[in-house]
Amino acid sequence: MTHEHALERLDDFACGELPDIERVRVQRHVEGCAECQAEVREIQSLLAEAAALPRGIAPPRDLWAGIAARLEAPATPVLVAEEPAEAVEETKVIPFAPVRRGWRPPTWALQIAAALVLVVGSSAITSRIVRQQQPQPGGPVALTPVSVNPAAGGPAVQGAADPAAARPVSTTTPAPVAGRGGTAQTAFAAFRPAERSYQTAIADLQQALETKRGEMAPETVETLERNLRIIDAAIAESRAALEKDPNSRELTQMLGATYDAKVKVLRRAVEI
Amino acid sequence: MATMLAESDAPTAAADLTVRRAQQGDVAAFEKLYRDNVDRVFALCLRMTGDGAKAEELTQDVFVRAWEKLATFEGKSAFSTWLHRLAVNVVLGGRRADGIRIGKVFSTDDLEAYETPGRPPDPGQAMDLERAIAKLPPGARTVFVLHDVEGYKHEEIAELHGLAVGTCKAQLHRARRLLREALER
Repeated sequence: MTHEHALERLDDFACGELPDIERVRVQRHVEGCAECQAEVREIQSLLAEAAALPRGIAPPRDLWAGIAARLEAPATPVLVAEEPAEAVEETKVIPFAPVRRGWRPPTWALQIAAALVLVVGSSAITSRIVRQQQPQPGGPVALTPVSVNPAAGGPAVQGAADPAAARPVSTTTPAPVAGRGGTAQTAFAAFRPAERSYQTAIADLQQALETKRGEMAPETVETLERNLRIIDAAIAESRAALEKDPNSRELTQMLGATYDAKVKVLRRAVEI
Repeated sequence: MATMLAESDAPTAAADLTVRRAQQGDVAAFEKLYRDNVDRVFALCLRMTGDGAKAEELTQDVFVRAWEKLATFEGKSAFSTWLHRLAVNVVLGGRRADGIRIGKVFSTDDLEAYETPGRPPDPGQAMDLERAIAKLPPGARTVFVLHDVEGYKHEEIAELHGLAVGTCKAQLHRARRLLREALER
C-alpha cells in the first residue's frame, strides 16, 4: 500500500471502521511510517476529546413556556405570520427610524420590526376573533374548528391516521384543557404557568436593559419604548379577550406568541 | 441506532409511565419529559447549528413536534433515543427550509450558549473544541457532530442527509482536518 492510499484510509482506520483485510494492510504501513503514526495519534486524540464532550448543555433560559404555549394550540405550528399583510393596514406600526438613502436598518431593528408585525397581526386577529364571538342574531357562531383537544384523545397529531381523533370545538361547547394532574381547566388557566415564566423572563430582561439604557441613543430608547407599548397593548387586549372567553385556544396562542415577541424584542435590545 | 446512543437509554418503568401519561394528553407529564431531555436536545441543536438563538428555536420546535408525534412512539426504543432522532430530523429539516442560515457566520455572542450551568468545572479543552466545532462549515459540522460526538454511523448519516456514504466520509475527513488545524496550540 502506498503512503497516499494509507493516508486516505487513516480516518476509517483510526476509528476502527475498515474491513479486516484493509485494516491489516494499513496497519502494516503505519507501523513503518512515522508520519502516518503521528496522523493516527492526532485523529485518535480528537476522537477522545469529542467523545468526552458533555452530552447535555442546559439552554441559557427555560424554554418550556414557549413550548407550553404552543401545546395548547391547534395542530398548526406557531402563530402564523401570513396574516400581517392585511393586519398591518388596520393598525399603525411605528417605524424605527426614517429611511435614508443608502441606509440599511441594523439587523436587530429588522428583527424587532418583524416581531411588531407579528404582534400587530395577532392584535388584529384577536379583534376579529372577538368580533366573531359576539352573539349573532339567529344563533351562536362557532369558532374556527380546533383540530384536536389533547385532553380528549391524546396529543395533537398532524396527519393522524384516525381522523376521528380530531373534533371541532365551538364556543357554545367549550372544551376543557388538560392541566397538571389531569384536572380539567380552561385554556387560559392552563396558560397561566407559562405566562408567569414569560413575565419572569421579561422582568429579568427589563432589568438587564436598564443597565444598558445609558449606552443607548435617546432615539433608540424612545422608539424601543414606544414599540414595547404596542406589544403591551396587544398583550392587554388578548388577556381582556381571554377573560371573556377563557377556553379560546386561538386567543391563548396569540397571547403566548405576543409574550414571545416581547421577549425577543427585549433580548435583541439587550444584545445591541 | 448507534451503540453510543443505546447504552444509557435503557427505558425505566417510571419513564414509560411518564411517556404513557404524556401520550394521553397530560401536559405535566410532557413537561417532565422536557425537563429530563432538554439539555441533550439543546446540545445537539447547538452543536449542529453553531448558533445559540437558532438552537433555542429548534429545541422548542423539537418538543412541539414530539408532542404532535407522541402517538407514533411505540416504545420499541427508549423515549430519549426516539426524541434524539426526531431532533436530528428537525434540525436537518430546518436547515433545508432555511438555506440562508447555512452560511451564517458564528458570532462571539453565540459562544455564551456553551457557558451555561452544567458544564464541566474545568471546560478548557472541551470549550476549545466546542468553539472549533461551531466554526466549521455547516456540512462538515453536522457530519462531525453526528458521527464523532453522537455516535451515528456513516450509513445512518447518509440516509438522514440523502447523501452518498462517500460524501459523508469526505465531509468527516474535512471536519477533522479543520478541527485539528484550529486546535493546534
